[in-house]
Amino acid sequence: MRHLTPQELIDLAEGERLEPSVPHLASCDHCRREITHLRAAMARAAKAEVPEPSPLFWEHFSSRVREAIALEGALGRRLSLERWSRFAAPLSIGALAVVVIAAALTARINYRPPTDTLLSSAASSATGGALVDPAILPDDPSLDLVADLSSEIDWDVAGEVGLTTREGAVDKAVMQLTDGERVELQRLLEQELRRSGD
Amino acid sequence: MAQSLAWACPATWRAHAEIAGLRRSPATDIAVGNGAAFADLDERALVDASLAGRPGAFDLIVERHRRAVYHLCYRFVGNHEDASDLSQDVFLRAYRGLRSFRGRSSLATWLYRIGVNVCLNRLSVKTPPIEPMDEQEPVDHGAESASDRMLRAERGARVRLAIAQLPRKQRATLILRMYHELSHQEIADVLGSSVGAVKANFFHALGNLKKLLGDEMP
Repeated sequence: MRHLTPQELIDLAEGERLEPSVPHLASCDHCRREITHLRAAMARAAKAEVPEPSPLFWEHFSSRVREAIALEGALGRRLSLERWSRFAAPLSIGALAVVVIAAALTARINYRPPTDTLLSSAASSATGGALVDPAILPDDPSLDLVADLSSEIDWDVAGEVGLTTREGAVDKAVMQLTDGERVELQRLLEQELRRSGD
Repeated sequence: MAQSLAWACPATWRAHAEIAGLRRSPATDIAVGNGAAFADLDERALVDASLAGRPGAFDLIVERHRRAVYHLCYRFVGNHEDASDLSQDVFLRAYRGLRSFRGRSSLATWLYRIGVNVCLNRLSVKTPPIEPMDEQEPVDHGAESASDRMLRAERGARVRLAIAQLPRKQRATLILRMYHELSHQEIADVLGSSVGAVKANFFHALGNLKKLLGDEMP
């Protein structure tokens, strides 16, 4: 004989289903007893009241909630200020670095080297544009400043302020090189590979 | 987060003074005044008023539901101190998450869901002490004699102690069904389970309660 499931017994004990609608109950003492026990347990549990706190408690409680929310709001504002000030220094360094780099690049674009300083090496023999020997570049104080700033910027901080390269940026830069610059880049890479292979 | 004048002011001193009947603060006057204005609002409108930062709107939500939330917490933890702290936490979380209240369930059911989570989290960290009998204020039933009242309080305390020993899901199901009259479907929503699982949990909770109370059961 299949007895009633817990779900069916609960439905019957709570009166969601009427007992005459379940023929099994007429012949099963076990299930009838289960329903009686469930009802007794519910009646017993229903009498357990929560001790009522003092009437003053409720007013005090509302004040506590209000105070906790006000405190959290004030704390949230302070934290956001601290978070902002934490990033303010690296951000200002980053912004300064961006300005300096932009100035340096502009200066380099506008620079017209004298014809006798052009290299006659592989770069100049290639079909592309001319390369400038770094050794003969005039001293540029803005480049020194960039070097100084960048040497002190932590990699993580640089990443946070957006100074690191984006995905695909290197490929794009290589595509924009002149033929001469690509030949020189290839030479430098091969030199680096030979050195690392030693 | 929506802020209002009433909610932006530290209120401990004000609360004490008001409880003592010494004074009423302007902020509370605003809250009370607006509370009266909000009295006719339905739950959704009251939540919207709170989100808009209208003074007194959230006060009214707290006022309407604080007793039920406190009772829920008390039934989980069995002592006034923890129940009071947990109830405060429930309303704090409710305030933070008010935007997530969609109105699909009643505000009470939504608060119960937060309450059950807060209480279950607390129980997973520590087992709160059950309040001794002599610290409990018996519920006043008018003409009842002192000895009857004591007997009833004692029986109530035994049942609460037995409920406190139930497995957590059974306890949550029994509390929500017996004392907060949530439907099986609402309990399933609160606990993230099915109606069938809720009924099975309720069945086992009542069975375990019977075993724990032993001879006291008829």
